[in-house]
Amino acid sequence: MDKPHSGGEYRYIGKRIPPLDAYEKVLGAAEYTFDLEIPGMFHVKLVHSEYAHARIKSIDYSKAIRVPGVVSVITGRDIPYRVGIYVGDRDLLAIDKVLWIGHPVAAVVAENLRAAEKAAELIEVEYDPLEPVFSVEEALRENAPILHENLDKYRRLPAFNPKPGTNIANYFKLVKGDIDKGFAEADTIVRGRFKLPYISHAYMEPQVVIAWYRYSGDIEIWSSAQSPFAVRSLLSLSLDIPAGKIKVNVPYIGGGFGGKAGLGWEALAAMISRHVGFKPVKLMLSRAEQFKSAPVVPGMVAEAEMGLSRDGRIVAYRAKFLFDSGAFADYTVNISRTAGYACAGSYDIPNILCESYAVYTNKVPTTALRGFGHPENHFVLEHMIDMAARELDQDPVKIRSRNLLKPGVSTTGTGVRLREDAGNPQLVLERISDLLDWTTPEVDPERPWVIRSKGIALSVKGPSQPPNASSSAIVKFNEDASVDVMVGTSNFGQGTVTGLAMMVAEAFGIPLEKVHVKPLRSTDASPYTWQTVGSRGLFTDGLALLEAIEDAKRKIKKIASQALKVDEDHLEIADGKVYVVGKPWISIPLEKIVMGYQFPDGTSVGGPVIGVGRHIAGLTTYLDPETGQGNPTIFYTFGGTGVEVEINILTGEIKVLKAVQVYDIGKAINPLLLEGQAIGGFVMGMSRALYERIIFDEFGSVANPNFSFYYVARAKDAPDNYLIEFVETPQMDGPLGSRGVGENVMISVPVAIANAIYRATGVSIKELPITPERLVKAIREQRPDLFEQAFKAYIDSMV
Amino acid sequence: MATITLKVNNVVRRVEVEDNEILLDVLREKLHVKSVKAACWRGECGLCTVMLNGKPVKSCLVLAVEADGSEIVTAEGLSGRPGELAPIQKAFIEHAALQCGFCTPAFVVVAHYLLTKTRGKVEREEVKEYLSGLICRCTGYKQIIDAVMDARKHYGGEG
Amino acid sequence: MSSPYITLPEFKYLRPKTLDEALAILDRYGEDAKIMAGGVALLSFMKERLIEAKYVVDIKGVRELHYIRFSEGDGLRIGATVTFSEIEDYILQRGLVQRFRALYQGIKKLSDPVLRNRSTLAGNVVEALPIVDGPCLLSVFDSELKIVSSSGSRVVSVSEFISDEGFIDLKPNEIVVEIHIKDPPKGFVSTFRKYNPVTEFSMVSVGMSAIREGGRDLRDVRCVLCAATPKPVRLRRFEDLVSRVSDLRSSIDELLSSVESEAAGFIQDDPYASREFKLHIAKMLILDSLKELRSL
Repeated sequence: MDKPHSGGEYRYIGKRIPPLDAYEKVLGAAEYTFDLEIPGMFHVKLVHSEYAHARIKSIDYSKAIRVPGVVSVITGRDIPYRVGIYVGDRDLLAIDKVLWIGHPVAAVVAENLRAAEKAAELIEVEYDPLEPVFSVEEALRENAPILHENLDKYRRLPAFNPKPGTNIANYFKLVKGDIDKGFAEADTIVRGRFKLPYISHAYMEPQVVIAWYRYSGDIEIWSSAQSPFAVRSLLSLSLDIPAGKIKVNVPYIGGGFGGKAGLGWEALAAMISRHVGFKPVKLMLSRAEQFKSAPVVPGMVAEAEMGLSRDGRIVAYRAKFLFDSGAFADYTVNISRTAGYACAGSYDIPNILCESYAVYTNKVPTTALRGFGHPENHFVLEHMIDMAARELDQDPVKIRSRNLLKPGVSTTGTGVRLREDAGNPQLVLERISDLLDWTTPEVDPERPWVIRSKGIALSVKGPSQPPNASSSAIVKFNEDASVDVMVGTSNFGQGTVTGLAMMVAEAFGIPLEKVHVKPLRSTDASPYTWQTVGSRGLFTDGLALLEAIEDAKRKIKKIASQALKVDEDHLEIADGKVYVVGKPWISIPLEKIVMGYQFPDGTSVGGPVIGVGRHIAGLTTYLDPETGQGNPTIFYTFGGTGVEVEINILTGEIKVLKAVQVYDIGKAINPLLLEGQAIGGFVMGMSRALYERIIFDEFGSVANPNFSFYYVARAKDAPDNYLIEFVETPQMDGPLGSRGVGENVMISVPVAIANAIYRATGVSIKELPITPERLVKAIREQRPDLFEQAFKAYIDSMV
Repeated sequence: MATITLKVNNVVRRVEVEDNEILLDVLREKLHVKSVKAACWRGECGLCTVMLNGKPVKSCLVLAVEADGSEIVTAEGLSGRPGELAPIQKAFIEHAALQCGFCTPAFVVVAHYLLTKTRGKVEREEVKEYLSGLICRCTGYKQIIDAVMDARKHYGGEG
Repeated sequence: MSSPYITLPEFKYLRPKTLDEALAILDRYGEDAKIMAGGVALLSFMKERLIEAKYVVDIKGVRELHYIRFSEGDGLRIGATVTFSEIEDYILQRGLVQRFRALYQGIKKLSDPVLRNRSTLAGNVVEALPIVDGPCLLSVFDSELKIVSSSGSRVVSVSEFISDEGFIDLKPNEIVVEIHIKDPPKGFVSTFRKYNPVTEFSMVSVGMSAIREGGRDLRDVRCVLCAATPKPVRLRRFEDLVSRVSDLRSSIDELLSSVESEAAGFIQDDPYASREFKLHIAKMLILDSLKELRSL
């Protein structure tokens, strides 16, 4: 983008500008799908399976239908469709068979929610129980009960590889170099087994959708969805309705974090709407349903082996990831694929074998969460590196530095030469280490049973998306030379909207107040974008927008050239005016151009200015089905986390004292909002590290489907001391040189905390969350001396 | 069925309610006051917090009938003047103390109460403790706490 | 704890103006009527379909139940509809923090400040779940509940009110109308410790009180273990031992083994922590409380 000719400094880009939607939000005036009502709409309540695996014998809703206010009850047989983004394995309501406790088996439709809930309690379902499987290990056994007998018949995208006849929803393999040779050459080998629990996105606005199937066959949807165009295309595919007859509206979204990507409950709501006589219906989940019936985040077990030379070079890396998909693997197949292809993180490793599975079990279905695949594979990789460093008696920072990918030189795990402008991982590592004061020993604690320690972990992340994912943007001038910016990206507070507005204001030199960004309101009025996921929003929609800006500028210059009788290439646009290059005293304000120019005699030229732009991924490819080699992503953002923690050896409590976040984002368009991402991502990662886990009881039922027992970080847990820095190594084809960062900010947080514990105590924690009990137990097992010493010091302090 | 009278953001409203209706639902669905949100319906997330007769309460655990005759204030009525912002709301904007914005109306209500009650004389740890009945999943809280600390000067405390 | 519902089942709402009126309602409807003070627990449990009520009897309109009084020698008397916030403010404003220190500390850590604007001490005691702190806080002091029915009134101590299994001694026609926390004797010190790093509720809590008389020696130590146990449990052997200790260092092992032998039988595994870990934390909280009381 041209910088304005006066001064050469950006007026908006790089400035700390508060979010443009903040005014509406602090007043509670921002409207979410949660808030919307359509006159005459009905309310839907789901009825859930009480068995983990069973055939449905009968559903008796004779009592329910008599509850005053109840309009209808619908079961799976009424609407036997299957849906999904990557693998179409999901039913709308259980068809014949239930696959987990919480699986919706029926939907009650009523005039209000109280009546619907009252009726839902009265529905009686008879089941024929089948043997359930609750763990990936059980599910992979020979002769294990099979959840999806018709796996081969489901619609799927070519990137995925299910194994019909088993519970394997996807298998992915990354092969680079010669793994056996690599390990044979290694001087040292470290090994580990890791485990992550099922967790919840815990976005605040629950999943909610309003659907209206009209007599004309058109469907209108209002949904708390990250990706309206994906909703449209998947509705179209699954229900066999032309995409053009479907309109999806998305107002503000109360958090998503990946959990509202792909398709949600829209197809179910649409079919219910038709079933009740083409009337609008609203389906909203309760929080318990969010934990038990809506897709949550998969658990994982992993085994890994790392071979190193004596001087600390990683020569071989082998990992196997087993993702517990639950009953539907719709999006989770891509989590397993991503964990596999990105398993080597920020490092140049010559010999790699990473295998990754998504496995069906009789538990709650799962889906994407912020950075999916990466928090998982980095938890393994980044801790293995610290283990190796200890084994070799080397500094964890130095060993990382030695193995980092070198842009322009190294080949990534998927066999692509890392582009020269991919960023500066060495500088990122250096800055984390400096900001954390890595080499300065921790201050002696006043209480010897409480120790302080520092930990570091790096991360790298690019969007995991289909190779042809695309975006578009429109810049439309109004008569006051204000601009309506139309983009397809959704707004859940990431800051994209503000960033895009700043780009437009900068480009035309107009005040920010004159830029009106319309993040998606409806699929029929907004330009297309594939999805708002994968940290891609500002990058892909930003590139489309820059093209639209250029298009508009061209059109403006063309009109101005006629008005001023000067060649177009002698004109430039700044400060809300069109200038003649080198003669700034000759100019026309944009107001006189953007609706067409009128000469003093009344004649006119041009017309309303609308700029159009688009972006497509371009050079990304499918990955080779045998080796996983190929180009998976449009950018890599390198970054990482440093933490200083305080660990109470006796009570197992962990407190984060300092958090360092450094990311090479190419260009910091709005540091204020970027810091918001870095802080928010840190706390989400910390919460995952220390508190969060969905607990299943022996029957496979979620035991803690609420915020009392599924604890998420609260204000009292939040660290105060942040050191955040953005390295700016421009990406030549990024918008203003920038890259995405919304997910990366949480990826390395849990493992940085685990590494801090490891550094001070040598106690290795390979399972999340790091509860006090887990920590104390590990310390007592791995370092009984440390525990005894702490206890003695404590007693000394008493007397 | 009973008819209750509520003064909501300075406007007197009369509404028919069933005994088992909660205040949250009556505000949102019958009176269309959408500046009250909800995310758990059982007192944990705090997003349904409103000022009820001068104190913040979680409206998912209040019956509408028992609120008969009460005065209710939500985020949109916080400044007492329609369309104007209370100082805490301005501070939330300046500090970018929000992302998705779904929890924001509750946070500003509770923070405004705390600052008013303490006349701005409140320490960081107390602010954190006081806001811990509410969940924000996006921001990581720091900017929210910074905004409250910064707004103290407008409530009689030091900035 | 896992019902999918967000609305309440149907019931009739009753709002008596006097205690007599409230008692008459209970006489008439018996088990079908449930008393609501703050409503926090009752309405949550009704949403969860764990409590059924045909009649919800809101006693917030009974003015005679809304009072909090302190007098020297008698102590604190708290009416049934007084919220935790009101108690907190009263203790602070009347300069009673040191006198009722454990109570004050416990209230500050109980649920959260917004919920405390609704929830009541009486409701908390009647809820009597091990993970709520109210009964524990009262057990640190000499506290009694005044219970009335249309046929009269009775006074019971908190420990009598809650059975070993956690059931409460309250008939369907009775209302807890007052909590009386007796004025502690001279030299009385108390503290409350709560450990809840993995859920919103207490995993283990410990309340401790003693009489300090010069130096660091404590006598009449009272130690109550809560949350991990089905009801607040007095560790009497520990209390006895610790009150007689002259050299703390050499007695630590003996003190801890007394805690273990007395407490172990009450503590169970749950999905959030093992019995063994809870016992370990109980010991740590007890040592911590002891340390604090000695230094006050």
